[in-house]
Amino acid sequence: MTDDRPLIARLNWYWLFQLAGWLFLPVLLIAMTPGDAHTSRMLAIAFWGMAAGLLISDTWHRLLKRQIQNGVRVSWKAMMAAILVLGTIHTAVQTVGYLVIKPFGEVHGVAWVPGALMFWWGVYLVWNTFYMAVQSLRRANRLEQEALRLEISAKDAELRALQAQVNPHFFFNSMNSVRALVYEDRDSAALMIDQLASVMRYALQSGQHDTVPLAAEIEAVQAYLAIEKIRFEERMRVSVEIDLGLEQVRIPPMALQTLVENAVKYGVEASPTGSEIRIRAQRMDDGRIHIEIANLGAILPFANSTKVGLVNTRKRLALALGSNASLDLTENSGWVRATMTLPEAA
Amino acid sequence: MRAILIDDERLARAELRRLLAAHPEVEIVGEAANAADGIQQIAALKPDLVFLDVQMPGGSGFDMLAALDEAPEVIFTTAFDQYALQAFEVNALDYLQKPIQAARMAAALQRCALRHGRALAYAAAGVPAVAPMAARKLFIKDGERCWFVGLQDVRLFESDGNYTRVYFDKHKPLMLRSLNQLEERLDPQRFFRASRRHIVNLDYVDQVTPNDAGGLDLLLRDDLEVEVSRRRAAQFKSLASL
Repeated sequence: MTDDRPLIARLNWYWLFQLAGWLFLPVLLIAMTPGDAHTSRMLAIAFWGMAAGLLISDTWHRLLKRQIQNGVRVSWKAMMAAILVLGTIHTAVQTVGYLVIKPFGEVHGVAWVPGALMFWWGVYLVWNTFYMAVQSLRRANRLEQEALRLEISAKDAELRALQAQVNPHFFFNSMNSVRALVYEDRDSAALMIDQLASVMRYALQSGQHDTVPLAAEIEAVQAYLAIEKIRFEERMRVSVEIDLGLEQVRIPPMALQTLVENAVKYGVEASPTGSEIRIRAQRMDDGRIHIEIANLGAILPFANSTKVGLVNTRKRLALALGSNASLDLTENSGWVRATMTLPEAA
Repeated sequence: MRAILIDDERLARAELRRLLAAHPEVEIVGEAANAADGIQQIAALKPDLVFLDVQMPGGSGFDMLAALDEAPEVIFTTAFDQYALQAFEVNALDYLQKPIQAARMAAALQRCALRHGRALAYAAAGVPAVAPMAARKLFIKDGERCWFVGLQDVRLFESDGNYTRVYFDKHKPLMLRSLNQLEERLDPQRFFRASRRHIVNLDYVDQVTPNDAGGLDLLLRDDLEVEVSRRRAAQFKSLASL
């Protein structure tokens, strides 16, 4: 398993801070004693203190961690008590060190005890304050991440619901046409029902995948167009051109279908003379793939619904294929073209 | 009843024709496939009833009706245009959802015949010579909202530039017609041109008082006040004495 998080996230910040913090004490001690007192004994006691600090604080850290993982909230009172205990233990260990190493000669009397205690309590107060601050910062981060994750999964569910949506206007109009056709031409009626079933099945099932092969989507689009051809008759012409080798290119499900539905809505349904619907998929010189859907007409400035369809399709392209995929709507010499650009297929 | 079918899909018209075969009282006198064609057919054939698709190429069914001087009885046909239908003040609206069920068609035709008969009777109680005209309704589209209103329900037309404000019930939408255009179409026995700015429905006049300018002040039901210019006051008196 590879860890592709950035370096800053992979570092063990706990030990970095531990070492840096405890190293600060011997450095401080060395800095504060006059140069002629720098003996090997003094260095020894300095690092003795550092080692004791690492050991005691790490043991305390493990204890705390277990408490936190068990969901026990450590109160400030318990914290203060712990600081007193930890400081006292460290003072004791340090006293042993002084008795054994004797960095500044023999230890005399007990006058130094309160000062030493106060110093180590202070050290552990700083340590614990810092530790708890980091903990609560992390908790806040985790909560934020959790909220983001929830938001993403909600958006995902919404997207799938959108994908599964069958255009009801199309559906009921088709039902009406098929009803008329039953009396006029039974074979055509039967064929239209088959095609309607394919369109419905594809619309309902394809949403389970992030991407589908272009060939599968084209098949559903062809069935859809066949139905619309029955409805609009000579008002609709269709041409589909897919370059060889592009059948397996992956696109988000219903992306092409949505754009073709738009083309029919604005090119054919809204125009008394109708339009040709041109679908063309080609590999460009730079290896990228263009899928173009064109219809006669103009981009209407107030057609809000196109914007919704476009924005959704754009979002789904980005989600499924990354930011290299794009969708553009252009108008040129009486044709409206929706062009999906897909990154070079792997 | 003489009816026209307006729908851009041939199969949808065929389906309507088949459904209407069960109703011999409805005679289909014409068909149209788009709004422009529809307007022509209605003008030429003066049908009693129009079956009208809401979504049509070259303008919606609503836009088509708004372009008419007077609206016949209309039954809308729609696949799934909930938002379009919500725009409507529903009281006078009849619509059938595709695919159309025979029972719904029968019910809609019955309601329509009832309305049509009542309007004709209402008009007949007035002046018989203008009865067919007076039976007509006005279709008003103001922005996103639409109304079907019987002329007998309109209290007042008020000029507002190229538009006319129409007062009825609690509503006063604007329609894209000048007051002069409207005047030509209205029954002069009931709708009186009180001034440059107003046409009043005489049925709604409650009080008449002479004013200082030598004209008349009319108080309409629901407290609308309209001034009759001096020039037209005499005309008003002769009408009122009828």
